Amino acid sequence: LVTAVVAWTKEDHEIFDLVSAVEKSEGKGTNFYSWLDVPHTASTAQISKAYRKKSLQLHPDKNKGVKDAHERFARLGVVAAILRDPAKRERYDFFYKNGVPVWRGTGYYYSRFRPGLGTVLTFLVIITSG
Amino acid sequence: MPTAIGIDLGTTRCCVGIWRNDRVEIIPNEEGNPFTPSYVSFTETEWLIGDAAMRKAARDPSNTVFNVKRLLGRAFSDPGIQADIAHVPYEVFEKDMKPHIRVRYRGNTKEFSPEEVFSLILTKMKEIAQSYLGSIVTSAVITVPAHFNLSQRQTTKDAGTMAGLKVLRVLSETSACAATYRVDRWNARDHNVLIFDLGGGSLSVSLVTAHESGVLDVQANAGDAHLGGEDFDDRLVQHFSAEFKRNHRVDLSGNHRALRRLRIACERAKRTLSSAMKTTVMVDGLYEGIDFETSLTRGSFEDLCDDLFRRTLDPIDSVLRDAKIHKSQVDEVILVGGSTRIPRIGRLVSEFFDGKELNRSMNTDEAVTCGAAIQAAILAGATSEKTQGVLLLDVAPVSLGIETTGGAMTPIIKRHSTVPTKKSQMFTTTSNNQPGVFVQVYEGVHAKAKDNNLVGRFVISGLSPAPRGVPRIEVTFDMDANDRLVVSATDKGSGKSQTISISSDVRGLSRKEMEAMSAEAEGYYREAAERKAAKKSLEAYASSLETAIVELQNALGRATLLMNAGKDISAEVYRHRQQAMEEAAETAMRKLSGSATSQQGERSGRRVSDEKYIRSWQLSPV
Repeated sequence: LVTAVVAWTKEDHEIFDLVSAVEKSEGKGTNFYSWLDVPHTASTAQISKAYRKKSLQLHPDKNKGVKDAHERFARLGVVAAILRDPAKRERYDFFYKNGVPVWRGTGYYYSRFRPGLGTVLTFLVIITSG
Repeated sequence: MPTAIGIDLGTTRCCVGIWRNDRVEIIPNEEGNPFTPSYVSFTETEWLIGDAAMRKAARDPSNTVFNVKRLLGRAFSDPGIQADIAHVPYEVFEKDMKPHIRVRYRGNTKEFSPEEVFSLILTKMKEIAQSYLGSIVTSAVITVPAHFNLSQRQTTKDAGTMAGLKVLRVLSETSACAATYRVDRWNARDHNVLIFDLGGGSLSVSLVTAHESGVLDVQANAGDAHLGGEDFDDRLVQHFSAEFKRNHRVDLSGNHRALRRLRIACERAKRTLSSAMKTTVMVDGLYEGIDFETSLTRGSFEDLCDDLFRRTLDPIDSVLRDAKIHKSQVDEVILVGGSTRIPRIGRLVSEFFDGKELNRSMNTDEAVTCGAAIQAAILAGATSEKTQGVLLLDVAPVSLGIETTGGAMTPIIKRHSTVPTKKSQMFTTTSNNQPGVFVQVYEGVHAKAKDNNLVGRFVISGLSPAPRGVPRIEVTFDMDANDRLVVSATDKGSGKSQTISISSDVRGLSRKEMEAMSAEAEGYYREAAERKAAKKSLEAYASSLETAIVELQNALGRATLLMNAGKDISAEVYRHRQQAMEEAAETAMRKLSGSATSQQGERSGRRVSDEKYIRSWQLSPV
């Protein structure tokens, strides 16, 4: 697992972000498979089918004036694209089985919440004074 | 429910339809024709659109505008545009880097942009629908070739808005056909449909997976913007002008009226050859009383256009490749568009699919309009059972991305991604202490950004100084089903962010904006430099003051020592001490004022040379 930590790529980070976003909008515990309502062993054809069925529910054309329809459908598209691509699906399955890491590597946090100088100094002051 | 129509805006002709009573009605124009030629003719008193304008084409070629679709949303420098201009009898000139049209109208010279001409045609189509329906038409779905890029789609939308229509969607012609197919000939099982649409001006090919639930999932599009009936006519016109020249030693080129008449005869012959094996091409008094009459066989027509016909297969190939589907997995091949009536085209497509039987059950001319009308009804909120299950999952027609190090194009939304979609990617700076980033948004599939179409750009300035590769800039592309693209970039360090909505006016930053931006940048730089210099100056002064104070204290200390020393000290010694103290004070003062002036000269900001400088604020992928 340690080597995996070092080797987390841009694609993995995309998956992490997506996992959080899906949980946030579709309810805690929702994973890509449960959102599409397919078993994690589903074939690509089954996934495509489920995706199209779900599209009918979520597409903005079918949800006129619904505020987050665009966001949700856009997310569904990205999720489906990952599951329909064998290589990307393999990456997702790794995290699906082992869980998405709680600590995603300093680089991950660094790139997402790159702290300003002030924050760092405050942080250091708190640490050293403690 | 608002009245929403579907308009097929073709290169050579337009058609309008509406969804009523669970089916599409094609609306005839005032002359009773379902199709209205995409012609606008300007006269001394009025403008004419459609049939009337087309009739004027031979009499007043320089003031009759047609084939405008090929000019829409493209740069004047585009080689394709140049070839088109050579073929049209009216004047096309460059304005704001885009092609414009110049005609005589009401005794004056008037200039029109292609979208203005389009809006005239769209107004006409709206009027046709209004007089047929007896009600006001407010909104429409307009179709365009599948390969139209974002700018071309936006321009089309603008033309609709100019015509007083709320454009519900700019829809790909082949996607429209898919909707027609879905409503008309539904079979409830998953299957792959290839739509081959060869019209008057362009070829579009799409691969759509029809799902049992009714969802139409567009997998890939491809096309040829310059392949259609008009090009076959061109071939025939060239061929017969050459023949005429041989026989009569008369060059027809430049004689627009004669060429126009010859073209009409050629087009008629082409149509006849779709059913007959042989026909006659006849023009009375083609040039100075010389009649032209010759025969044309289907075989020789096919030979003349052979390379063009074969080119129609290339987009099929690329669609299958992009969709990762083998040709044997294609369940239905649907032919639409007037030019698919040419028997040779059908044979070539059928041969490509190993002799597969083609689906010609759809109305070749009306399929696109039907689809547009169906989509218009759905988007306007129709509650017909037949349209209920229809959902078109369309795709981004081109890749969208930004320019990165070395002028490379880094796509963020890839071509053929289902829209709406939203994607983000992290980028960083390429030089140390880079004060900003210049985000340039491009559309297209080429690896070099400059080969693609620039659709917008903006700057984030005021990045905190950091070594290159350290700042994190997140770029997000958000595209909705109406091809509206919103691009935002956020510097994670300073929290600074910028958002732009990509609109049709894609010339990007004007000269003035560029100057304003560089002034801002320069201001930022000067401010930073001044702050730094001022601080340095203060430090220097403080430190020399400190030195001076120390020296003065030393002098003072010695003086105090002397004063406390007692009586047996001569006046000479006291005087000597005072002199030394005065000297020390003077040196200290001199040093202080000197250090203050020496700092003055060092204050300098970096000279910023506007545009070139901002262009150096590059991004690179993390």
